[in-house]
Amino acid sequence: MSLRILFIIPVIILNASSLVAQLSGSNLLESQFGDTPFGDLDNRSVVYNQINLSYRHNDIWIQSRYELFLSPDPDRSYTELTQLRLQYRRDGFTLKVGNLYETLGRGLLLRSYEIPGSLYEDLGYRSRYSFFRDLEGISFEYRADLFDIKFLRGRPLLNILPPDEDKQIRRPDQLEAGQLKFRPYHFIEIGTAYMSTITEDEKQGFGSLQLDIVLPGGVQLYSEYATGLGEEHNPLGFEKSDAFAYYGGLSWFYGAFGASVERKHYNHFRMGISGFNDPPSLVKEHSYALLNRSTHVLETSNETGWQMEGYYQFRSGSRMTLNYTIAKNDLSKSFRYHEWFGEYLHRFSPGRNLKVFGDFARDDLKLETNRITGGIIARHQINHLWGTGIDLQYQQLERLPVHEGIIRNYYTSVSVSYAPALSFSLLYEHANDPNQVDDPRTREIETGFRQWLGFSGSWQYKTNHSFLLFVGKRRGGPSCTSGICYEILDFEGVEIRYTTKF
Amino acid sequence: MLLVAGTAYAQLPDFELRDLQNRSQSYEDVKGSKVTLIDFWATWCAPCIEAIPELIALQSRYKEQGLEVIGINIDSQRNLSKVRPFVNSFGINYTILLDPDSEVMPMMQLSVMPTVLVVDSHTNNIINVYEGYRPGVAAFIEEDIKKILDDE
Repeated sequence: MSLRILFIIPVIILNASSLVAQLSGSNLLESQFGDTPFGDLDNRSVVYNQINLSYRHNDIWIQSRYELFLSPDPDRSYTELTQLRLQYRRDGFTLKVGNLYETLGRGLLLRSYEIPGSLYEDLGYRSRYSFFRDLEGISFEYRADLFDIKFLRGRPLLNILPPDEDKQIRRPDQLEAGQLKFRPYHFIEIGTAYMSTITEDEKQGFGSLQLDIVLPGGVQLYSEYATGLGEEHNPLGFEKSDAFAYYGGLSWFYGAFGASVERKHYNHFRMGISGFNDPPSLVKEHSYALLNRSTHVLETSNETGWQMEGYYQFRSGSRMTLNYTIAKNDLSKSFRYHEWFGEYLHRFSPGRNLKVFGDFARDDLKLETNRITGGIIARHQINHLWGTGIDLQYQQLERLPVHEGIIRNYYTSVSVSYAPALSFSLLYEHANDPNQVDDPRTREIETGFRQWLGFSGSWQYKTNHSFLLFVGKRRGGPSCTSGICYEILDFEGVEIRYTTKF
Repeated sequence: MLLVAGTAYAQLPDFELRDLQNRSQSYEDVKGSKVTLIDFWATWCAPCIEAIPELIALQSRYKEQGLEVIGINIDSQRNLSKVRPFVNSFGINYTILLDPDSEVMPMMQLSVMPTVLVVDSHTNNIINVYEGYRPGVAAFIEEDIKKILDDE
């Protein structure tokens, strides 16, 4: 039955192009033939399908998402309507009912999100599903020149649980919130928010104040303070037992130079069981594979720190970026995270550039010291159609006293592209990290090294269709996209993804 | 049969976002008089940054003829303080709108970064979609722009 659905869905989609213009949608079909190394199953082949349907008529917009997962383990297979939303927007009013994405301020109290196109899977459930944290409920917003006002009520998603789990368990928290933003002048915005939460029958209140000023001379200041309210909290106490969060950001530009300085201080500020807030982590979000994987994940129970970043754009189009990050966690003891990062991109001509980067870090929470990462990335446009690139990265670190010796990670990628829609790349990774080499299923401690070799290709056909192919071994680990960090599993085998829009 | 579905898959819906001066701007407010390019990008996305000089060049070349490039930045609140100095130091000469909650990409059924949409400003039809950045793609975008301008 499920397999029939799988064949029927693409046929419906591909014939839907002729339907009325207000109906649009997309379909993502992904199949994996292979398995997670060190997993409990061999040759595990799975199929995932996601269909998004959108209907628009004047001011009304209806959106739905239907997900299907077929696994050799029948307990993990599911077909679920995972999102349904009705939205009405007119003359500054917006009303949303169903599955919503809402953020208050800069996310100190509440942030919901979706990582478009990403699928989440963990070793416990071995179920694949789209990665988002939405709210199920209702929101109302009015935007005017002078002010914005928003009210919402909903249940945020605990997104580490798959769609077929019980709804009460997946949405364990309930919240009601209101936010007012007032703009007396075009360069200043003052905001305030109140949020009431219920988790396991315990009711709590929180409030925040926000200030956003755009000053002459390229200066912008943003400041937000959020705190627990009620008898058990002192809003201005700043004691270790108080729940509060402060974020401040100052940015400045002058000609081709730009800089930002940011400050954070969070204490007892993880919201609910689902952790539905997401204050800015103030850690550089790297696009380099080895650095992205080594990121520091924010600990909202206690974290203070700074981040400073500067850019300079040369007249030739070359560019330099420098970043310094420091974070401190006072938990059972004090832990520090330091990172110095520098990057220089040299632009020889349009289509030809060379980028070098270097990074030095220390991460007490991970017991990592002397973490040195460097790399060189070259891009060369051969002619108006063909391009090629090479990406070489190296990382070494110490994890004493847990692991003896120097831990080394290597990353190499060679890519070829054919404009506008075709590209291939060959990826090779090598690591002697004991966390990667040791097989957790055995009592012995395996040593040596592991290698990952993979081939990937992508092809976009017309405006509607795109294909992705991966063959080989892919290294997993932490990954951060759009400020959200999550674990990706290792994979070994063949993965095919077909996406279509209509 | 699988590959013969239509090319212009959708009409661009109107949307409203804040610009770098914190003003609310709708698509209708900022679109080009004849052609609009919409680029979805973020400061942490390396291929997005590679595409920006090409978009700056297109904006310079065709603005007088009715092109407007709109960069929709989807940096979350994590990186929002960096966007304004980044845009100015980079010398971006087109409109930047902020979409920290990533509301607009799902409206258009998009999931790849960067994505550039070529839109006919008269009909608001999406004429072409370029997902990901590949060297040489700017020439194809330029062909689309010329074709729309020639059809005027």
